[in-house]
Amino acid sequence: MNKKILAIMMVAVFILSSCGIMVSSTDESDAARRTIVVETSPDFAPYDYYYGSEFVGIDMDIIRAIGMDLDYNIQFKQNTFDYIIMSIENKKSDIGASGFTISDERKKSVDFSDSYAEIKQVVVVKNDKDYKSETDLNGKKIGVQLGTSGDYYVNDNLGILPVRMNSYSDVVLALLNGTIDCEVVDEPVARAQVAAYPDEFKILNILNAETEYYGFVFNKMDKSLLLEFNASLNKLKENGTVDAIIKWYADNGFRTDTPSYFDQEPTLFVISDSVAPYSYRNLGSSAGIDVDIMNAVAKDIGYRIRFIDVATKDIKTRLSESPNYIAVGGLGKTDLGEDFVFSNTVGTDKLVVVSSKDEPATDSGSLSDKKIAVVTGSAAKGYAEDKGATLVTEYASVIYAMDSVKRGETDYAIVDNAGAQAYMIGYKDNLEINDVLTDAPVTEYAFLFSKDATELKDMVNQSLTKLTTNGTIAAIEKYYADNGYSLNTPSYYDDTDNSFWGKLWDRIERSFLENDRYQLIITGLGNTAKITVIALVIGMVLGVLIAAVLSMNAQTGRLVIPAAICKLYVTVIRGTPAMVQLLLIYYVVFASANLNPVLVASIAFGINSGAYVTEIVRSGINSVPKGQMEAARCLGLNATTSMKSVIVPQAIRNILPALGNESISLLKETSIAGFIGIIDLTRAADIIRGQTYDALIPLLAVALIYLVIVLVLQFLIKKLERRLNNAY
Amino acid sequence: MPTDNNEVIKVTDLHKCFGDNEVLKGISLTVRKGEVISIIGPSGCGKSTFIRSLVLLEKADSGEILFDGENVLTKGVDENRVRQRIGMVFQSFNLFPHMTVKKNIMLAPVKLGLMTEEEASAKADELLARIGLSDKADQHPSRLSGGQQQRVAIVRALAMNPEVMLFDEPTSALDPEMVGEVLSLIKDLANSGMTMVIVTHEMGFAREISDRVVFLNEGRVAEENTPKELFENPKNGRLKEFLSKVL
Repeated sequence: MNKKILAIMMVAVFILSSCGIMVSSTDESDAARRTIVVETSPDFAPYDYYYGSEFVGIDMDIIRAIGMDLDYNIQFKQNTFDYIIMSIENKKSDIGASGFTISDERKKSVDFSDSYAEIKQVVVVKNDKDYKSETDLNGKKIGVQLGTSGDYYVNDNLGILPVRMNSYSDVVLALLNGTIDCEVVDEPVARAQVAAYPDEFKILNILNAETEYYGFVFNKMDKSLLLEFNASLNKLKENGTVDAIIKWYADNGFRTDTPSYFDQEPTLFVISDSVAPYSYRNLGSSAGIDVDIMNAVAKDIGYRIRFIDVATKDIKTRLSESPNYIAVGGLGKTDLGEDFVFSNTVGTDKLVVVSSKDEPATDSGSLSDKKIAVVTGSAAKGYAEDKGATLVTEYASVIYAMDSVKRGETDYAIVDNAGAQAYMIGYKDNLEINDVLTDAPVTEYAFLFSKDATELKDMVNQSLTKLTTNGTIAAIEKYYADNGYSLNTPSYYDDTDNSFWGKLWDRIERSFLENDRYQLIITGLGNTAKITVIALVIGMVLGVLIAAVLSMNAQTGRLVIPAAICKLYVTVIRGTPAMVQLLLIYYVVFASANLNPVLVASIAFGINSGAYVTEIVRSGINSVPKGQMEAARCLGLNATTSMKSVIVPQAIRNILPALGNESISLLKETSIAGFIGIIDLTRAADIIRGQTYDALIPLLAVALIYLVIVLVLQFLIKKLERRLNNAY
Repeated sequence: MPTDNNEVIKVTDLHKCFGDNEVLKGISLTVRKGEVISIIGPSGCGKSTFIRSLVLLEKADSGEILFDGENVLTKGVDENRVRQRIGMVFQSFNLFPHMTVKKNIMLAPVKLGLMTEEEASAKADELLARIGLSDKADQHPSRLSGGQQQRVAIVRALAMNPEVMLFDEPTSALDPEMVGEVLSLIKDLANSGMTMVIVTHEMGFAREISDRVVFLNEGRVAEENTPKELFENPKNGRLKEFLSKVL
């Protein structure tokens, strides 16, 4: 009875998993269109990465755009970077798109499309390090991703043996942990990395490497597809689609939580310079009054929000680039010409005098004979001149104005009160604030738009009115005032819990909840389960059959040739690493068959497991007393039936613990499936690690999942054993 | 006296070596229908090898075993078909521990297509009733005593309706108090007219039920006679010596 139930369960699981494979490999609605399979290594933001379980990045979106243009159905598939070229060469997939630099070396194996991006190699170091030129790199440990142009440049041009790692995220982690001194990588990728770790890393542009060009990779026999893609790519370059895609990612700061250009969520792009207390960085996050008002607006209108750092002098240029931008950061409402418009006033401030402690200002009448520092574009200049000051110097920002007083270059700085308070932190010993300008004009702050951004402006104004009425803006302003406008004040909306558990939760959130990354774990778990179950079934069937052949050969001396083949199989499989077998089966045995990799992996692991099961079953068969076979044969049963009905069932019981162990090691063995482009549990953790640069959390989580599965398996095996033991 | 037509098994000049050790040195024996033959002899005399040769568990090197007139040592003879017609009972019972008593009995007839599941079940029930173990039908062999197990092993062989039953020391592995029940079943069989060859150490039993007793010594038939003659008036020196030890 139990055996029947078990068998039915096994079959059910097998069928379900097989169905899973079928479903994932076909998509009925697109049946009419040709499907182009594109391989990528999605750990290479901003070119290729996962957003949830979606492939996104500049490469992916250009391919998507071309697919739409040519009316092809595009199917993305992940693989390890250094295997993709081989995969395309073997026609496993149609196109490789993973930031491939066009090189003569690679051209020997594959064709390249026209270039879609120009790239420089740069050096990334920790903030506290500084190298001035390539010669400074001598004797340093330089991390690179295996097979990338950074690898070639360091090795061939610099003559330094790089520290080569399999995935780019490993390089980042190594740099973070200090096991390497620096890394050499493509510039946009470096920028994505610095965007993720603004407090840790910086980019050094010190390499003399030639500009490189990225191209998509095609099989050499597939000239017609290449021609079609090139034509489409050039069309998209001309009509601005490619630029728009790149700009989308750049505007999002190359951050890895950016969805596809084709799946844009409405986003507020806020540009600002660092102007405390309106907009500044606190522990790598944006903070400030304006920043938080924009945060409140974004929440109110249901938009994502992205802050883009722009120098004050460039703000107008950037604004005129796009009607999607809003400039903030203590911008006083002044006349900026008809190309720009302000939002409603969001706040006001008064002017104060910052003086040296020895020479405090007493009233507005004392300004006339003093050297006065003001901020360019503020109302202070006109006010000071009205008061009879003749020696007025303009400075780019509050901090420069204040610094001029400290250095004795000027006597007084006339600046906004909040700004003065924010930057006092560095001048407490020398300067003081004199709130004496009772007749000074009030500064009104607002946000700035390009004149084309009418829609955006109206929406923001509406929201600002609402936020003023419901007291949100007042609350934000009070929060910063209560904190003395100190630069150490985190964002009003910053709910970062800096306790141990808070930080841990943040990392967990980042690893699994952000971008719906948990979906990768679910996909991975599904594939791991599928591969394990199918491989287990194949392994058991193979193992039992082969063991039966070998035992029969040993007992009767017949089946000489099959037995020899079986012995060879067991020897070869047990004598070579599973990893090598998997790669051989995928890239050589099934080289031309375009099978689902999950199925290929299941077959490979099944074949692998079969050899071990053979040995287990053989020992089990040997453990059954000889008399059992004799008794069966004496009843007239032939050798096969005797094996099947009498020996094997008894053998199975004897070997159940060993079979249980085999299924457990098989489960763990499947963790190498990622090497043929499958997202299994382990690869899922790898991918998440590639996006978050946090190895600990995803790996721990995955380890825990494996452990739980193993414990459940052990429990089930124990239970089964007990049942069988009770049976007789 | 039975005629030659009634020869069920006719063994002629059977030889068997295990490596350098010649165990059977030319044994000839005829078993006629309905005959009960006991084979006795000292350890290592070749009794077990001989009886195992009859059911082809050991392959004789030379000689002839005619079963129903057919030489079963000829190449191409379907040994499975031969074995279906011979019942074999082992010293160590060899019941299949993973099956119930009833399933043990039903296995071969059903697997070989000789009976349907229902027929085999009815047959098993009948056989179990005959040995008084109907209540054990659905139990696994490990729950049975040695004597019960051996009785089941005997009816398992009977389920195939064999033409001849071979017993290889059927009581040697039993506790003394269980020997009786097994011997009495074998006696019943003998009384029902079953052709039987029994390798045994139970001299009294051999004497009681056998039509003929064969004394094997060093791979040869040293003496063959009616039980009365053989036990009361042994001629062979080794037989005398053997009997003096065991009786």
